[in-house]
Amino acid sequence: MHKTRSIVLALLIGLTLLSAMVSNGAKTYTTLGLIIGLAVLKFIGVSFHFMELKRANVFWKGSILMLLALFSTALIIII
Amino acid sequence: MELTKIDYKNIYYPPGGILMWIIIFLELLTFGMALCVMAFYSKEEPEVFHNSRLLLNTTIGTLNTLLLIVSGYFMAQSVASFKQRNIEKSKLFLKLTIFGGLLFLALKGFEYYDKIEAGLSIGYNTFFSFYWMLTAFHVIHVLVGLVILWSIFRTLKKDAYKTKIEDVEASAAFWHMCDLIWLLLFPVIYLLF
Repeated sequence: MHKTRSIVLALLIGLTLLSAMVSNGAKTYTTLGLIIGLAVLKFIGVSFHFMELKRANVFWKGSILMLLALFSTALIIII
Repeated sequence: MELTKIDYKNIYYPPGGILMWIIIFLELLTFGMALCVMAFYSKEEPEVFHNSRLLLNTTIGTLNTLLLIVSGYFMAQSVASFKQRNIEKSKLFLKLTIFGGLLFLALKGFEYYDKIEAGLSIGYNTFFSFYWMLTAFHVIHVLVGLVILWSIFRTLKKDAYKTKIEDVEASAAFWHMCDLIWLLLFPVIYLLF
């Protein structure tokens, strides 16, 4: 458990640095999609591993994923 | 220390408690909708949003994200240690969590000072109106989170055996919520436009 959490931490740090680097490039739809995609992955990492949502009822897991899908799709469509 | 066995698979007992998760969903909905509105306004003034975004310091934003992520990791470690009945370790991780939150606030304070000095206040343009409202509202959440963590730390210090796992988990869920909100704010405000 402790090891998994440490691996997730390392991944989250890596994803944060990657999204900062990606944002320095030209603003294309691919870059925007990548920035939002990386944010979604970080969000899942924190909610499922740090908040232990992975142990919760499927309703809570599904709800948070639906909320995330809703906002990321809305942002991609609007931008 | 009260360690009752919680059935997390039960729909009414998510880690942190059902009431805390209702709050988390409401907060995420509020911030998420505000970010969508911000994105909508950016379509009307793309130049203003792009040039304003460039006035923000991405390095500070990235550092703040890292601080909250590491702080969230320490919080998760603190809860895990508490469940293993290792109070000293739990307290140490809780102290590190609070320290991470304080560093976040210090860095945010520096950023705010820098923006105010440059005249980029809430009325400067539409982008900065959103920037100030959303980030300041988040800072208020971090402050409340720190007060909650401090009270849990004091209870653990005074009488660890009276501390309930439900209270520790609810405090942790609130702190992680601050982390989740920032994970939505950071890419949209600092990176997208």
